[in-house]
Amino acid sequence: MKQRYVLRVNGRGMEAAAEAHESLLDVLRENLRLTGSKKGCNEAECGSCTVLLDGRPVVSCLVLVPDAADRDVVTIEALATDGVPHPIQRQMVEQGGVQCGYCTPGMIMSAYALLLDNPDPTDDEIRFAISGNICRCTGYGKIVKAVRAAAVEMKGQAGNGGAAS
Amino acid sequence: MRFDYFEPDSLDEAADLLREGGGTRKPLAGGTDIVIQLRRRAARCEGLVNLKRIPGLADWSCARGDGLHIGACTPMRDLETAAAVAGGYPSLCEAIRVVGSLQLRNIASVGGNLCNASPSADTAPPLMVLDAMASYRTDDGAEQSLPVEDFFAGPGTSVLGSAGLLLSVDLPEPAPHTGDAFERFTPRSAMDIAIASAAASVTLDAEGQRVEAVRIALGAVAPTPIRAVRAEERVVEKEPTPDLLEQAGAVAMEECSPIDDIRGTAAYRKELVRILVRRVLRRAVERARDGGRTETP
Repeated sequence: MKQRYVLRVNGRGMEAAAEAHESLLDVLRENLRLTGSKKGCNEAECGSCTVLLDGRPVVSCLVLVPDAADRDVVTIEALATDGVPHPIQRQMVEQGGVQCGYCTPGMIMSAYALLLDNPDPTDDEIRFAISGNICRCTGYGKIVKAVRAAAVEMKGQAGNGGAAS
Repeated sequence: MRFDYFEPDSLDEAADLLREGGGTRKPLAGGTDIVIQLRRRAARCEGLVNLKRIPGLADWSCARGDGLHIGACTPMRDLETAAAVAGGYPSLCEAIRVVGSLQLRNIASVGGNLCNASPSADTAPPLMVLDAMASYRTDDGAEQSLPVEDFFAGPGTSVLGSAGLLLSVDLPEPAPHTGDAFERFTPRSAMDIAIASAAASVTLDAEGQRVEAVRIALGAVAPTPIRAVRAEERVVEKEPTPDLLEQAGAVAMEECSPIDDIRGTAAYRKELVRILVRRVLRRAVERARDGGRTETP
């Protein structure tokens, strides 16, 4: 039986009629038409569905929609401002961290969560943060480089008084 | 994968909901095992009873003198990122850090890892060597506790009845001159299930020369996580020389009863036990001499 759930997605209250066994990922994609989060394995193995739930990265494929009700959800759609890509998004393109692109939204959300916590991560910390995001194209080197470059860019922006996110 | 969903806000209500189901409903904490099992149709249940909104069940605390209290629904990542846990209970931190991914550990709970009762449950060996006690509610509502090593009944089953609930896991503060360590072997460094794992806790005398107490536990090499008691006997009250730790590994490999499966053969697992036990003992001894602190942040 479908029920109405109130979700706070990217700062906006949204309602979805869904069954309790449906995942947050399915509701984001199918009900709310936020298709940036990808469904890869649907078993918490690949990380392509990563979103922030109350500020923490989670695999949205395993979060049942009632568990996400009344909590803060941030998806990849929230990162660009007025059509201007977030530094992580831009650096993923510039450094060649994107090929097929399927892992990219989840990868960026993991990197975004890392940089919120730790604006100046080491390469090992970056690798640890994205170790739950599987990329089968790039081999990770360019992704790590992109996250590092984004961290530098964001620090520069923060230093100049600009918004870092 | 259809099921009824319940969100009780008290333990009594949760137990009633489970009891009314007559064994057809299961408790839900992080859901990282049960939701996947239901999707694969590897498990059947007609209802999930979400425990996460019950006050106190996801609380944890670690204070000097009080030990570590872990509410059953505490997300693993909470413990992994706590300096007090990494410093006081490094083997537990090492085990948590290899469970699934960071995004999974923000959901998955320590209690769920135990209740799922997989022989390869990563948090079980460290909790066993750290003298953890599991507190739970029986089917008739009584509260009981027992050592984590006695919590498991077989692959996928624990002492909990169909209306029973794990409440918390409590670890005493480690004795002075104690060190502990966990290691597991997987072909990949992330996102894998243990072929074999081992944890050890070693308490040395004040001079750091003699083993006063030792505990060794093994994962994925028996129907449940197990203690390697004879290997412990080999080490206790002796000087922890490299040769002795090697002998302990050889004893431990004869104490386990692994199976052949897709991840490895029984013979391969036994050989892994020999090496893992030697390594965790060596690292536990080093940490005991180093004041029991971990070298990783």
